[in-house]
Amino acid sequence: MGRIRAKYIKDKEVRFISHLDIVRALERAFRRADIPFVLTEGFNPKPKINFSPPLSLGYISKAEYFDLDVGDDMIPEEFIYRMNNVLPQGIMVIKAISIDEKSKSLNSIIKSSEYNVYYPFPEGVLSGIERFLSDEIMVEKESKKGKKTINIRPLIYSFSKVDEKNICLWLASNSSESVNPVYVVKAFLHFSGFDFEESNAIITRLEQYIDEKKNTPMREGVINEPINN
Amino acid sequence: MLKDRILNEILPCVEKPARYIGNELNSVHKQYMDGMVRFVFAFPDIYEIGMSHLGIKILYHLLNEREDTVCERVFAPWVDMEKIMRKEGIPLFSLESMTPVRDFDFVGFTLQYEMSYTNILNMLDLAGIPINAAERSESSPLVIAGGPCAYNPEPLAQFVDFFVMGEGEEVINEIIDTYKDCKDKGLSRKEILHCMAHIDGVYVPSLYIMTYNEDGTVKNVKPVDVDLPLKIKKRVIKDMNNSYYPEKMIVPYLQTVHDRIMLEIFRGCTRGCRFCQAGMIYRPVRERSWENLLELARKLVSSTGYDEISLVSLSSCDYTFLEELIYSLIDEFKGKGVGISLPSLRIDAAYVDIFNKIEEVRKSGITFAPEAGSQRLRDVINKNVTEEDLMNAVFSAFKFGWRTIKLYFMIGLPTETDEDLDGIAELGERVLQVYKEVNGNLKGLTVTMSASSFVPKPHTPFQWEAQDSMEELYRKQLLIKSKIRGHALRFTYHDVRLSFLEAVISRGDRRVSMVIKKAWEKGCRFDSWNECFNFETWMDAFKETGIDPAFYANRKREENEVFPWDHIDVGVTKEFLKRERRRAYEGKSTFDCRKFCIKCGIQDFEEGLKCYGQN
Ligand code: SF4
Repeated sequence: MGRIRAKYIKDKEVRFISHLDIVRALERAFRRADIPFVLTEGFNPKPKINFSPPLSLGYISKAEYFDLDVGDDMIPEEFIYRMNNVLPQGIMVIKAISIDEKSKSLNSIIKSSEYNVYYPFPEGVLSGIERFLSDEIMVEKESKKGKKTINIRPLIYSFSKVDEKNICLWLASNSSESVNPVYVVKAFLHFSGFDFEESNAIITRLEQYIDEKKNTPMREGVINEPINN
Repeated sequence: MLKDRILNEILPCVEKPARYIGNELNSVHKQYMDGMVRFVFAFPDIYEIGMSHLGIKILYHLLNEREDTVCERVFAPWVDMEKIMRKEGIPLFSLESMTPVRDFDFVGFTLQYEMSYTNILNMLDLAGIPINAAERSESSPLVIAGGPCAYNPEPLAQFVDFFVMGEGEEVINEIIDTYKDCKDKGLSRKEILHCMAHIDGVYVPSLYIMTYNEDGTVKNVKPVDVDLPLKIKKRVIKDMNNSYYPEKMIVPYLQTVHDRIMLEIFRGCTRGCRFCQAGMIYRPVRERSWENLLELARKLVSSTGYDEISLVSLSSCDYTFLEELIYSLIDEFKGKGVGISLPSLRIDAAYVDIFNKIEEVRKSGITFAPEAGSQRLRDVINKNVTEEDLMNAVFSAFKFGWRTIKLYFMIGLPTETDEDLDGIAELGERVLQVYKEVNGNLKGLTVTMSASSFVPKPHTPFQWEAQDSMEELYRKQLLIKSKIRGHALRFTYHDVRLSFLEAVISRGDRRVSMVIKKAWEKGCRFDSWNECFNFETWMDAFKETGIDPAFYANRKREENEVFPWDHIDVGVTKEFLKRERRRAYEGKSTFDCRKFCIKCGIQDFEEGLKCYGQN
């Protein structure tokens, strides 16, 4: 028995596909690609698979991950090749490695995510980033228990301007603490005296990290050297 | 560009944007070039429902195999999407290339249920295509329609340029060829419609005039020209094994109602239930060979990756080589986690056994459809099962470990009395007893009994019958409810108001189109959706158009009345239907014609057409 950790991208129209639908699309792709996956027990057997934290609907991603249990003889290069032959437009496996079956789950090792946010920012607004970051940032968050106001400043690891219309955000995204880039941009624009039009933003997840040194999940439990770098 | 606007401005604002993006696996994206025919399939309900429909899947790939044709899809936008589209001035667009629907040559609607008709008007309106066929210009698409409800086309006659009767695979290529021919000759819209009317199975309503008697019934339907056919005969595939079946099917991202491979094992049904329209209009039975099906299943699994194959037909347990097929499918796919499923409506212990085999991979509820609570009434409707059959089947289902059973019934059937209804609750009680016999107690058992209301349908032996009034149907529902006891038995029933409207529209004539239009103008759409259905608006529409719904729904017809659909020939003869109706009143059941021919008329319908057993 072996386990494959794969990194895939979600692009173009596929950004409007929910996480659950992507899961099913991948399961079907395994079957089309003839991947020797391991089935779960029970009346409704499914491939044994584990995903990185789900991406919000409408976001593009350059770095989504899953772990799949497969037969011993499945080598990562072959996996990438076969999958990309059958995946629908907009989903592509860009990297795969074999990992130890005792490796921790993706959900438990991923700590932060980096995003690019495209937005038609009003002129001059981006010069205020530093001021915005110099104080507490209180936002109202809705959870199952109702609304509460929290300070998201500690969850923002970096916030930088790329050009007039693009910013880069490095944010906490672990199982206990996380913040969605939309909250940050919204708070920033409010702080600068503007409204935020969510439908004008295009958000791209650039990478997910397992530590503050920006190592990716491809480091964890590595047996083979990562390929396709 | 329209596409960019839709993707970047519209889709981020709607619920389930995946309904509108259309780049699913196996969807076909063709570059349109001058001279090509553009066809868009329109399903008048949301994506998740439409994508569960087998006919679209077949015809979509069939048309796209033609090099000279582009076939795309469109579904009814849900209310949130419609709102934004209207506000932003976005016209109805096709999924594949996001082209405005009004730019296509054909818009082909499939008519699966009457309560989707307001959506058709709404989609035309959103597309910027005039609702009335008569108002369309040379540049408007030809709006065409097919599917089971097209067998009474008249309620939509005002809105549809032409209808296609029968099996689309058989005729769609002729339609496209004729269209190209006409275009090459530079013919006008009117002339094109005239040419179409000469294709067998095509009905151009504007070329036929409907007249009425003083009592409001139909006098006759006549073509405007002597060269047009008096009767429009449905088209039928003669040999299923050689008929087109796609080896690829679109795999939606969204979970659809039937999210699995649909393997059509045969068409038609010979059981002859007297209320059932499908059983009459899809005759004769034509099977695919099991070897052919196994091969198709292999190809479809490898092109879709689905984890379930569903064997579809009107009555799958009747398939001659069912065991061969199922065992070979299980053999082939078990190791890959691909399950087999079979709609389970046949009541027979032997089939519960087969069920048990396939449910080794997947365990779900089992469904039986006795339809009526007493033997007398089951004989009237020609449901050839006895209580003993049912109890044997239930017994073996419980033996194999099933705990969830569904029983389907129909109320308001011709000749029904309160004793027949009492029989429904009694059947439920007996199922409980059988469970107790097998398991000692009632632990874990759920029996859901559901009752729909009888809707008399065109082309059936009951097409002359009156539907019970709504008050009577309500009374019957409550009566059954009051007799059903115990927490293991559940009783559910359909909305009587919907069945009533269905009864009006399904046997409607051309005047009914005024009601449909009025209801739509007053805001009706998605009528089969609870959250959208507004019965009061429909009743207002009747009032304002001066049309009496009871005339259509609750009136018993004279034996010789001319029906609005009499000029549509589905193959079974009116004599056969009358004979079956008489036998119903005599309480006589009729054999399944797989055993011997009961002369329904279909074998004389067309040369080369063979029924089951005539092979
Ligand atoms: S012609 Fe005879 S055998 Fe054929 S469908 Fe009709 S009744 Fe059945």
